Parts: sequence; C-alpha cells; structure tokens
Amino acid sequence: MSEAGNLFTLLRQSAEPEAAEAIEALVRDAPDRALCRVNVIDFANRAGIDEERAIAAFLHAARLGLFELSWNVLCPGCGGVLDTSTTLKSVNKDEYDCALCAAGYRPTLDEMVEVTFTVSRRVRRIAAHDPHELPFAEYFRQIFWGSGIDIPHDFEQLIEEIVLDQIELPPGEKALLSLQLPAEFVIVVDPVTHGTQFLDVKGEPTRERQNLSLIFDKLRAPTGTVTLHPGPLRLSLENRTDTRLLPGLWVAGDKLHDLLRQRRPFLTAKRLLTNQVFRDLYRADTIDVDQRLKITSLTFLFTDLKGSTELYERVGDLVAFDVVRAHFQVLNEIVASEAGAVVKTIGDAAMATFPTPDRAVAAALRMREAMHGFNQTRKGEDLLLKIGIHEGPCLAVVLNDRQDYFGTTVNVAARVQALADSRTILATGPVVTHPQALTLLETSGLKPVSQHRALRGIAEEVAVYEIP
Amino acid sequence: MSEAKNLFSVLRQSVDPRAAAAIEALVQDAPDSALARVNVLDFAAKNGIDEERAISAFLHAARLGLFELSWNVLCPSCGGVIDASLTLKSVNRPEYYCAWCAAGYEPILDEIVEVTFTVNRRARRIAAHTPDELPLAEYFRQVFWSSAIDLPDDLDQVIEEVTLDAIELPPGEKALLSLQLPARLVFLLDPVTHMTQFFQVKGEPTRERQSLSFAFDKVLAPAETIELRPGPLRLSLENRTDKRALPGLWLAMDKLQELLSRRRPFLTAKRLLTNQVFRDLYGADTIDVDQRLKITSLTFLFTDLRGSTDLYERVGDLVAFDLVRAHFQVLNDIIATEAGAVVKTSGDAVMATFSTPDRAVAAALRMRDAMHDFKDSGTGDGLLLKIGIHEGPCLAVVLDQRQDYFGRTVNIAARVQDLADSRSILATGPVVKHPGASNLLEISGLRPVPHQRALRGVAEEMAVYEIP
Repeated sequence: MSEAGNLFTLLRQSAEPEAAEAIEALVRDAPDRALCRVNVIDFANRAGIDEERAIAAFLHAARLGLFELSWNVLCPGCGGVLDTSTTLKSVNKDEYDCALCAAGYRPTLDEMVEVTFTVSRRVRRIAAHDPHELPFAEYFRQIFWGSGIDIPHDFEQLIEEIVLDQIELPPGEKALLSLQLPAEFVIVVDPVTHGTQFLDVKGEPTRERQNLSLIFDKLRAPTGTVTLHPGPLRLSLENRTDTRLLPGLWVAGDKLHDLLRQRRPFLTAKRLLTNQVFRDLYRADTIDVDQRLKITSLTFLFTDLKGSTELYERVGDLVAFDVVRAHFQVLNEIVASEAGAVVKTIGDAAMATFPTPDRAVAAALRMREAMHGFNQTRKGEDLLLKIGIHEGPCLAVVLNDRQDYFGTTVNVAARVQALADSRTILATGPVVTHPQALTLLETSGLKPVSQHRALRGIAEEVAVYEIP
Repeated sequence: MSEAKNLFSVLRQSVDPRAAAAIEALVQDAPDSALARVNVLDFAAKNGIDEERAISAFLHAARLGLFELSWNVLCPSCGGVIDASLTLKSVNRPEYYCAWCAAGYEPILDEIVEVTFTVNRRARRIAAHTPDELPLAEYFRQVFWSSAIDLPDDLDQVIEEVTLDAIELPPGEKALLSLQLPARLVFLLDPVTHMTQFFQVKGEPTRERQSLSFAFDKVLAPAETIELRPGPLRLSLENRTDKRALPGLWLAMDKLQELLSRRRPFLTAKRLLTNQVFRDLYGADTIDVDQRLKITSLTFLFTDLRGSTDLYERVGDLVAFDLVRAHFQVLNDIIATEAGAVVKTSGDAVMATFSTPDRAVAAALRMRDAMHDFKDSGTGDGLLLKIGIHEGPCLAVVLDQRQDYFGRTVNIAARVQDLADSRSILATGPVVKHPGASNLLEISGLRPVPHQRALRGVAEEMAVYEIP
C-alpha cells in the first residue's frame, strides 16, 4: 500500500482535498462491489461532495493509476452494459444490439455511454477484477448492469423471487435444467454472452414434458421467441465459449420491471467530454481520427471581444496579447466552474461547451459581470464580450489534433454570436425555453427579448433572443 | 554504428530517399567541420535537393536522435552566434548584446534566430562536440560564426592575416602578449566569452612600452575604445572563466570586412515555425506559455468554405463532416508543398502561415483549382473556397496549448477573408506588391483589382486586391 499511499498524497495535491479523502476512504474501507464501476454522481451525492469536484478528483485518480476509467455502452431499454472499453475509441459500431430487449441502438454520447471508475488492482484487489468468478447476483450487479440502475439492498432476495432457476456453466460444458414453467413471459438470458431466448408461456397447462435446447456461443444470435405451455420444461444448455456463463430463467413480471425502473443519475460520456479537467488531462487522445460520435444535445457558447482590433492598434500587439490572455483566464475559470470546457480559442474568440443550456446561460451572465470587473482593474479599458449560445445535436470528432465538435448546431451558435452587440447575450429558442435556464433568467430578473434574425448561411430564420 | 544504421533505415522510410541518402553520406564521409551546425539550405543547394525536402529530412533525423537541433541567436551585423540553445524556449531575453558590434538586438525570428543541426555524438563523434579543444580557426568556423557566413576553406590563413597575435588561455590562467601596434584600429576579441575591446592606435609612434591588462569573465560589459600610440604593447590577459579562452588581437581591415560580408541563406526560426513537418513533429512544445516572440514578416492565409452551413443542412452533419475533412486534406497537402503550415482549423475554416507572400499566393491559386474536383454530392457543384491573404509583423505565442500567432496582422488577414466571395482570392497590398508574388500573378495572367474596403474593427479603410 506504500505506492498507493504516495499516489493518494499526489491526489490530495491535485484534486480537492475533501474529494481526495473521500476517495481514499472508499478504497480503504468500502466493500469490493463499491469499488467496481463507481458511479461518480452517486458517490458525490452520498459523500456530500460537489459533483464537479468529485468528477475532477476521480479523473485525477484515474490519471495517477489509482482507478481505471471505463466507457460502457448502455442499453437505453434495460440499462444493461452492451460493451465496455477502457477508451471511447472502441465505441466504433454503428449500432449496438441488446439481446435482452431485442433492439438495436445507435450510440449517442448523451445517455447511451456511461463512464465509470474501477479501482486498479495494484491499489486494491477486488472480486470484480476476476469477473468470471463472481457469484450470479454480483455478476449482474457489478458487470451486467450499468451504474444508472439503482440496485436495491434486497437484491439477492429479489433475484430469488424473479429467477426461476439459474446455473453456473463452465466453458465447454452442458447442463440440463428441469423446471415447472408458470404462465408468464420468461426470459432465458446469459449475462456474459448476452445470449437471450424469450419463452412465451401461455395457454392450457400441460403435464407433458416440453424440451428446449439452447447453445451459447460468441456469435450472438438474434433473440427468438418460442411459445410454450405452463408445465414441466427440460432445458438443455450448452456453453460453447471459453468463459464461464451464468444462464438463468427470469420471469418478466412486475418485479423485474420495477427493478429495471429504479434509475439514478450517472456520469455520461457527453458530460465528461465537456468537462474542463477531462479535456486538460486527456486532450485529443479520446476519440480516433475516423470516429464521429453523435451527441443528441450539447450547448455551445461562443464569445468574442468587441473592439479588440482597435485595442491592438492602440496598445500594440504585445500588450494586447497580455490583455487577451488575461481575459481568457477569466473565461476559462467561469466555464470550468459551470461544468463546461473550453474547446478552443481563435484569436480573441473562445468556443466552449456545456452539458445543459442553463449552465451556459449562468456562465454567460457571470462572464459579462467579470468583464465589468476586468475593465475596472485595467483602468480605461472598455473591453466588452459578445456572447452567443445555442443548443442542439452535433458530432464529437477529432479535427486538427484536437477533440472538437462538428455540425449545423456549431455553425448556428457561431453565427448567433456574430450577431451579438456589446454586452448583449444572444441565445436561441432551445436555450431560453430550457426549464432550468428559464428559471435562472427569471430569478435574475432578466426577460429575454425575441428577435427574428436571419443568420448568414442558414436557410430558415432562427428565433434569437437577446438577454438584456 | 549499428544503432545509427538502424536509425538511418528508419529515416529512409520516413523522408525523401535522396535526402536521407545525402544525410547518411554526410555523416559517413564528410569532414568533422561539415557536421557541426549544418546549414540545411546550403546542404540542399550543394546536393541538388529541394529545400523543403532537406528541411523535412533533417527534422526527422533530429527527431530520431541522429542530429541535434540548435536555435542560435545571431548578431545581424557580424554574423556571430550570441547565444545557442537546444530549444527556442531559451530565447527569452528582450535583447541580445553583441560585444564585438557593441549593439543590442531584439531576437526577432526572421533574421536573428537561425536553426542548425549538429550530428549527435552517438551517430558520429566530431571535434565540435568538445568545442574547448577546437583550434582557433575551427572554433571561429564551427562555434563563433553562424551558418549565415560563407566561410572560405582557407579560413586559418585569412585569420592569420587579420590577427596580430592570438593565444590559447586555459581556465584560470594568465598570459602576457608582447607585440608591436600598427597605426590603425585594432581590437582584442575572445570568441568564447565574446569579450571585445577596441583600440584606436594613432598619433606619434612611440618606443615606450604601453601596458594593458584584461580579465575575461562571464560578464559582457561594453567598453569604450581605448586610444594607444603605435609601438610596443604588453598585454596581460587573465582567464577567469571555467572554459578555455582564445583571445587574439585583430586588425580591423578590409580583409576582415570581406570575410564577414560573404553571406549565404540560412534556415531561420520563422521558416521552421511555418513548416508543416516541424509543426507535426514538435507540436506546441516549441515556445513557452509566457513567451511572445516577434516576427517581422509572416504571411497569413485564411480559407472558409462557401455555403457550408447550407451544405450541412442539406446532406446532414455526418456526410458534411467527411466532405469537410476531405477538403482539409487537400488544403493541407497544398500548404505543405508550398512550404507553409496549417496553424489550426475552426469549423470549415483554415488558418495557415507561409514564410513569404508568393508561396501563399501560389497555394491559394492551387487551392482554387483543386476545389473544382471537389463535388458537392447534393448539387454536383464544386465546393467554393473564400480565401484571404495578408502579410505583416506578428507575435509567435502559445495559446490554448498550441503554437499560434497573435496581432493585428492576423486579425486583418481574417477580416480580409471575411470579405471574400466565392472563387475570389482577396489579398492586401503587401502581398500583391511582393516581387515574387507579383511575378507569379503576371505569369499566371492574373491582374489583381484593388478596392478600398472597410474592415470590421480596423480603423482605416484599406486597399484589398481581388485576384480574379
């Protein structure tokens, strides 16, 4: 533990001390399963730590090798993990199939990719480091389901009630299960291969034995449904993979649905991408050059210094550079504290992203205030920020050795900023009608004024609101 | 030599084979002096290799550890090296003082900072690796003078003619020189400390012995000219440094002026910064966050895709992204072959630099042609580029973890691009009036048409030329 001890010392220096201590306590005292695929948002709430600080602390911990970061593709239906990888670069399939839900999903970074942290085996050995030795219930808890499912305390008892039967099937082996089928919809599912078979048990009960055989291999066959009668079933299961499987028969009744309905917030890939600490620590190494990952909703904020060209002419390039850099510093701090990230700067313009419109609006209001203070400390300067905000779908890409965003939404956001005059903040309809943003504006006593403006290069008119 | 052999085979794979072969032959066969501070442009000319290919080959060789790159601050007057460093980050003084020329210079990257390559001692051992053991003439050739001076092969004879006497003075030692002073301007110069003292020898010759004593220490203090009379002089010299000194009494005669007036082109820091291979290999690690280095003249080219927003909406973000990326690839190739570098992209806009306006104009013309072949899959029309070019002074800085440029010139270049319509290339006066550029336009049968235009944020109207 001495190496880990040193790493924790480093963590306390680079992350917020309270969060660092909470992580250290977690590693020292928590049961194994609390250290597998940690849900950072849940951790923050329980420890009473600010979410952003908790995220930053876990990112630093991962960077130090205390934890391993994992990107998990989730089924939006059942909340199961369809694929997991130590890098977002592996999220490269057009579609991910969930056998349990018998549906395919295009990965979007908003809700379909979660980010979790598992303690490194050098720091503490936990059972999940050898997932193929985990008991049935723990495999479902720690490996099969995403961190968005809030698994109840009586999970094991619940499984007893929901699962008709289950068996541990070593590689290459066969097993026979004899059981009585109730008149329910039953799902045979193996959580390792995700191989699934639906049994629609209905009609007249029978006393005749029904036979069914299922083979699990690495080629996940499309999920089929067979209709059976209530009564005895002889289920033959064969494991043709090289790992242990955990096939079981689940009753798709209210209890299962209740279990799957218990959700809690989790750290999404989108939220991590638009986190400043993540950008600083991981830079462009997140996405491959050929990847284009969809995000359904991201908020873009563009700023530009008004009158900067005059400033350069008046004070010269050298002094202007220092002023511009100082103003970037102010903007960076505000963006980071509103859970956003600066994507890039262009001349004296900045492009930033936020997970939701309200954080962007909050940042914009604070930026305007901060520039006021900035001008006062630099007597005589009259630097004004022109700010534009827009929200919508986009692609997360790598351009120019940098993780960047692409699409109409980005273009519109930039154009909206170009319309802004001094001291005004311009935002589009989706931004000002976002419930939290609306509340924020109301509590600040600000009433957005609608202006129908034509944006250069954009076909339709876009409703642009001026935040006075 | 086996390790070096392997490195050469890697070099042959990554660069132009002819350039790689020439570098390998140089390391194998050339005399020691030809491997210290190689002037890449001179090397290219002597070997009949394209300059850009030679620069790229040496950069790769340096990256592989075959050569060491050195950034030398030059005295523009005498061509001596005032300071040498392995990184541009050390070029951090506001002024560099040449004791010989008794003048201070701001380290501008155009002409005051050269980049040379010295063979690595693991690839070949040369005398200059231990500069304190070089004979006087070789010290001047390989260490004191920069690669900008085209030194003759018989440098030792020339030095013999222009010096009255010179001695080798080990660290901490003293020496006495007795000599006859002629009636002319002479000076005492030590090339190691750059310590210089001028003597105006005039008036009645005397037979009385004149005595002077000098100590060399690390302080470069400018000194007033001392008046002496023709006749015997006893010079007592003391080396208070920890390096060998090579003090000599030099005659300020035409022969010396001739020697120093033979200049040849050399690789400037500016040219390297605006080289694509250099940017790719060295990235942002060139300049410190707090450095702002002046460049007197750099040419900026901005491009933007016309109607791209419309295009995104029509074909969708995914298809548009692929198209935009493919067009970046075409532009990158053209920029690199015209000895320029892409600084960054923003949306579908590109910012590139060139060391001279003619290369930027040549690149712009080629870009326009290349876009013809680029069909918009929706309309079948070629994509249209809006291009703007401007030349002027700027600061080389690091912004946003990227080696970037700052200043009024950059702003104006971006604004000029803003004015451009489809297919037109807009350039400012300094660009179209540059002899190389105006030649190129004449040969291409293109006549730039001036328009007085107001640029956003720029005080005066300026003439912007449209290249049809």
